[in-house]
Amino acid sequence: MVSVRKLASVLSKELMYQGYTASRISGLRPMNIERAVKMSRINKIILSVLMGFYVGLMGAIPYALKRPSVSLIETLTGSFFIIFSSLLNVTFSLQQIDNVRSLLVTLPIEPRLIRLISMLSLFMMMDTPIYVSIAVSVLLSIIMGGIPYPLLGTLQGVSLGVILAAGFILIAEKASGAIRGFSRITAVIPIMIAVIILGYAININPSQLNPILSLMPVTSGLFINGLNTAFYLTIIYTVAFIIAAYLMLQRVGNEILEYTVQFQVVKASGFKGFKIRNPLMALIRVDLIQSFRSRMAGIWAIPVSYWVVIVFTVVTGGVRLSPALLLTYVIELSAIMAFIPYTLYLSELRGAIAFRLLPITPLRNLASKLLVTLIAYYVAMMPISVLILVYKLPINLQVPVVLAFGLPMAAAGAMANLFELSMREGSASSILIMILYALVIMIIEGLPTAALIITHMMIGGYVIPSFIMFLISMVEFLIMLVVLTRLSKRH
Amino acid sequence: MLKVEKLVVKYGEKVAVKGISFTVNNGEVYCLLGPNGAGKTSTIKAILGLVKYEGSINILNLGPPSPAIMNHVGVVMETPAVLEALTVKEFLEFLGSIRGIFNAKRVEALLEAFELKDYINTPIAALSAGNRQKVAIVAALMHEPRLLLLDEPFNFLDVKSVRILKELMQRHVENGGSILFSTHIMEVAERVCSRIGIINGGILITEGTPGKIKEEANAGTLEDAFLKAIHADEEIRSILEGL
Repeated sequence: MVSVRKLASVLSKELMYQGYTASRISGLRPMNIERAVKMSRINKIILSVLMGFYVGLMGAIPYALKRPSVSLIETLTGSFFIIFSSLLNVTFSLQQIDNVRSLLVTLPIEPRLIRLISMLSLFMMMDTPIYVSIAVSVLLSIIMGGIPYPLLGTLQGVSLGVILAAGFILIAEKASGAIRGFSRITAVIPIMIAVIILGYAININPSQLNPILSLMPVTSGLFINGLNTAFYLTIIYTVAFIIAAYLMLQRVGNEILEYTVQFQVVKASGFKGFKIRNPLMALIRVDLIQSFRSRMAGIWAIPVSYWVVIVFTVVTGGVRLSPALLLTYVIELSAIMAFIPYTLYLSELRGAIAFRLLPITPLRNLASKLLVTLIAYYVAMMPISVLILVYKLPINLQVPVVLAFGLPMAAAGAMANLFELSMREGSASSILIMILYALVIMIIEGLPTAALIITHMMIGGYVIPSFIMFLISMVEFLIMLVVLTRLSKRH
Repeated sequence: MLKVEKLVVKYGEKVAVKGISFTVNNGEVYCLLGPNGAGKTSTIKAILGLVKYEGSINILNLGPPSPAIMNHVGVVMETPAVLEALTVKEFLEFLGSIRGIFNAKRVEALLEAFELKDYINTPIAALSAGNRQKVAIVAALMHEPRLLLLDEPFNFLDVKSVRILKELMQRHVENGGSILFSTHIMEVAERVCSRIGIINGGILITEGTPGKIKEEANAGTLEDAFLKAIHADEEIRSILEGL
């Protein structure tokens, strides 16, 4: 008799390893297998700590502000954010795990059990973070007493994270051409919305909201005042989300692990000869193709959605545009743009070994990423530049708009080093790189930003503080270049 | 020419290659023969600078592995080193653009030879394992490199493609190029290779022409000589007796 749980547990360890090293898609082999195996499991612990911390902190703040029901929204968006992004990230690395698929087919197990094992193994990749967040939310609910808002929020957030991530994965696997491309780009929107809600939810005053929201999923919890309709609805929604998450996880498990025969698309016609380009342009072109054809494509939607939010709130009069606010937008957007090189480098993971067999130096590679980031940065900054003119703000505000490019530039240098180090080790954990990169960005972007704010407060104006900010980011970039040049000498 | 001296490759605690030295001369096919896990692929990866190593590697008298040298080297890895998100055409254009070497006639002839023309606009991810391997072979040969590093290049190939590749390898060395070739198939090694290095447990046990290796081992075939060299002949006999 097959022990479903045991097999699923073994399988989940293999999936975690594959997800961590991404070796199936990169073609590289970790230099230290034992360490890679260990790190693939530590990854889960890091995620658990992060999630427990998020749920605990974000769930407790509303109680301190005497808005306990908001705790539901905070824990919901916090746990949703981590589960959704991690699940998408993990499955990105799980493409081409034919070894697992083939193994399952050769085992004497009924298809029904294979489906169960697939679902369980996928769940086991995320189980500890989920258990930790639920445990923290239960503890917080007990300590705070009354309606268990943190628990309800966490259960809903985790379930919704699974449902939506599963939805995007299924579309990406099943749908054809345009829909698949659209789903890749829009996959990042739920993350954006979650981050925005996470920031703004603390200001929500349930008594000022439209009562119709008391009947809606997610928001119904805000209206719980004892055992009323909203309470029962929230319970019903929570249970419904959990069931839906279970069913979706089952479908995704099948999709990733079930052995399917792929048919080849043969297009004999349409060959009009080859086109050879300048090496840098060729590199940029392939970077863009790879990023748009991967699940990382969603990053490109972030700056667009960001300025849609800015323009919408400013134009509709929801926000009064001041120089200080505009400067905040510039800094935030340049921080967001730091994720463009991150995306471009991670897209290169697919077939990384092919890149290593070509005369591409890490410096030339960085140059192509910088050029794309530069163009994307100024395109993304254009609406802000226009807002300065339209709203007749001081024209010298254009200086930080132009010079804040130094921030993503320094960040790109840091990412180039992280990527090079990761490749030298022969493994690349997208989650670990993401966490490390987030930490590095905090420092690399934090220093010039702090310099900008401090000098602006000390001497006023925008021109000199912007130049100081630019100067510091250039120093950071140069340091990154020196490190990269040293790493470039392969041995 | 390729010169490898006292090469050591470590994966954490495990030492995969333990100080091997060999030279691949111009106009010769040097074959690395060895059982699974012997260190053949690790040696090739070190020559390409894909893994950290100790010792010395000199490629075509140009120095150790570096991006600049890659234009003179053609590689077929055990797992095809291709960019699967691209179509065959996009991938070959990319290689040509980066290398700055592109002979459209040669590329089209290679595509024709390996029956890939019908798949030119197909994403590599959608190709069969055999066709993916053929794309990797075209990628390795298209820029007419001086040194070929072929790690199990016949994997997944049909008989016709195997014959074509063997012929192309022959032509390559006749034109003064050199090949480092790793395989498990003794018959191929015997027919294609000028010299053979037998590697086991990360150590080069013996090297020489196929004839010399057979003679030294007093064996009728290369397979027998190989099994004797790695001391597997007696082991196989006792295993078979137990079955």
